[in-house]
Amino acid sequence: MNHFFSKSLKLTPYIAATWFAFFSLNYLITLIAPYKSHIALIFLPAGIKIVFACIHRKEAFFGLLIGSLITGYLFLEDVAQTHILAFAFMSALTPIFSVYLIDKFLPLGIKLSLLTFNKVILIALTYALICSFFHNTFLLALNEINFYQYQQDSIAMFIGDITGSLILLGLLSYFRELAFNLTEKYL
Amino acid sequence: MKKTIQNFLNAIAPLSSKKKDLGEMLVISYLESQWSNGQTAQVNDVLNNIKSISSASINRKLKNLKKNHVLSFNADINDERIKIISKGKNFDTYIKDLEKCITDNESFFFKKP
Repeated sequence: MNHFFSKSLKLTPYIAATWFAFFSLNYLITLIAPYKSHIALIFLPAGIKIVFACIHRKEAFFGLLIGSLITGYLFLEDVAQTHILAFAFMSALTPIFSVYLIDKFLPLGIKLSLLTFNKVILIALTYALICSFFHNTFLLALNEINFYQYQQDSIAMFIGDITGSLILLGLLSYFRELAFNLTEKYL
Repeated sequence: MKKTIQNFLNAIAPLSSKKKDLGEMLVISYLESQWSNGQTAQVNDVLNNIKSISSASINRKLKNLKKNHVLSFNADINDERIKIISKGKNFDTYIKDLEKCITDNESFFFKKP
């Protein structure tokens, strides 16, 4: 348990900072094609969540939570503070939950040795599905949105998360050799 | 941690890598060796000299390379039935893509000890 907290503590600043950077970048993109303050049709930080959840698993939780809270308070307009807290929790939990869920049925191996491209896509799909379900069911349960909006927002959020994940992972894949060299040099 | 990140990066590799056909690479390398020796290359030469792939497969690969303008086929002046193979307008791009494919996956092809 102590190991979990000490590792999480070390990871939190860099995960939160990366999340903040990508959320800010995405905020600029959503200014061009806006949908709703808490839903983007291309959500690049979703890819960052997948990356951190796969690599660090549960130790990524606090970093994602703090990052989501900061961006929630700074960027989400017309959203209640309790909602921001709930969104941040869901935002941090869902990618980690998706990784553990896939790992249970299709083992990812020690140090991701059994991770394949199909499993990454499956994690991204599961995450997008669960995230859009929980976010919008939460708002529907509080009567903040009607059923028609629920359906529309769920689809929009799913599309945003999956496109964002694929774009970001695609970019990361394109600069893979650079990432390899950086890990060789600094880790 | 380093190994975990590297395994993750290997898993997402197919997102940016272009598909390269080993048979096509074999055809291209055969043609290059012919051209570098100052010889012309005919379709029949390719079919007769590459033994590891069936004629039907080689024909399909040649057709594909022609379709993508990597190679171009011109009829011989003396005998129109003979097709001479020459570089297409996309030949250099194809070679560059191939080179990039290998350098991008250097860590996969040439694992460091």
